[in-house]
Amino acid sequence: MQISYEHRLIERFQRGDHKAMELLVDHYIDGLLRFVIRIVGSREDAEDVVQDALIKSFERAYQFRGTPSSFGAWLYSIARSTALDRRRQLRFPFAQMTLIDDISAPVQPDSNLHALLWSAFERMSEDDQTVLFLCDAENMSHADVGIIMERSTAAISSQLYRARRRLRDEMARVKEVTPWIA
Amino acid sequence: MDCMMVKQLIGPMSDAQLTQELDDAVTLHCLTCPQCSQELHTQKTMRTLVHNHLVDQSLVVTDTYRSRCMRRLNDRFPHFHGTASVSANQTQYQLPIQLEES
Ligand SMILES: [Zn+2]
Repeated sequence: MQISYEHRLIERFQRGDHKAMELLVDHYIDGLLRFVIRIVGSREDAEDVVQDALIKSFERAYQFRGTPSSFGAWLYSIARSTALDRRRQLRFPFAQMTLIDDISAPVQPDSNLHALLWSAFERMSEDDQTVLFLCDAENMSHADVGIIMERSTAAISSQLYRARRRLRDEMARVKEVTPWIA
Repeated sequence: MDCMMVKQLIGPMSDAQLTQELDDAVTLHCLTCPQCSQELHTQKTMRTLVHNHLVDQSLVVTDTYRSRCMRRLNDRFPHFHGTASVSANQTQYQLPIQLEES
């Protein structure tokens, strides 16, 4: 969503326009679910987290004086911290992601590569996973990801470039120890 | 342009953030430098792989869930204009009931 369009929607929302709130929800809800399900591991938990994040974000935007610089980044930031809290309650380490049916992606024609990528990705830290997911998979700007992760834009860029290298190394390692994948 | 400078530009280049002039300079350097060429390849390949494989675009919310979210938001902001519509289908958003408080 273009920032100027998002700003107009937020201003309409702040004036009490329900339709603007509905358009914002529709724009973000699917991406948020995909983002959160990766952290909490089940669709049911992800749906709870997304709903809470939407309510908290709209409450905050409604009380905010002026227009937030990026409502989307705000929304993802709240969703991420709520999801990480939920994950801690579930005592669910990142390394167990392979066991989750809800986020195992559909089988694709080049499923060996697909499986290898997922296997390597699941072994990475939450921070690496988040920058890769938001910047490369969801095409978010480094500035917005900086707001979500409470870091500078430059810090996000360098973390992303390092994460891509680590992902390549991890894929090579996984391929070596599990030759049946590729 | 030396390797040190090129290495700093490779990431932004893979995200298409360089000017044409800088982009050309990095490309030229990578033609004759195996290390930088390898790094450029890694950045571009990993970006494409993650983009193509990590997001399951078929994973979307159900209409029931969306309606539930909108109901919760309507409860939170009951005084909003036109809170009657919670349909996922934009074309069904018709004749919103005015619930604005005076
Ligand atoms: Zn070089």
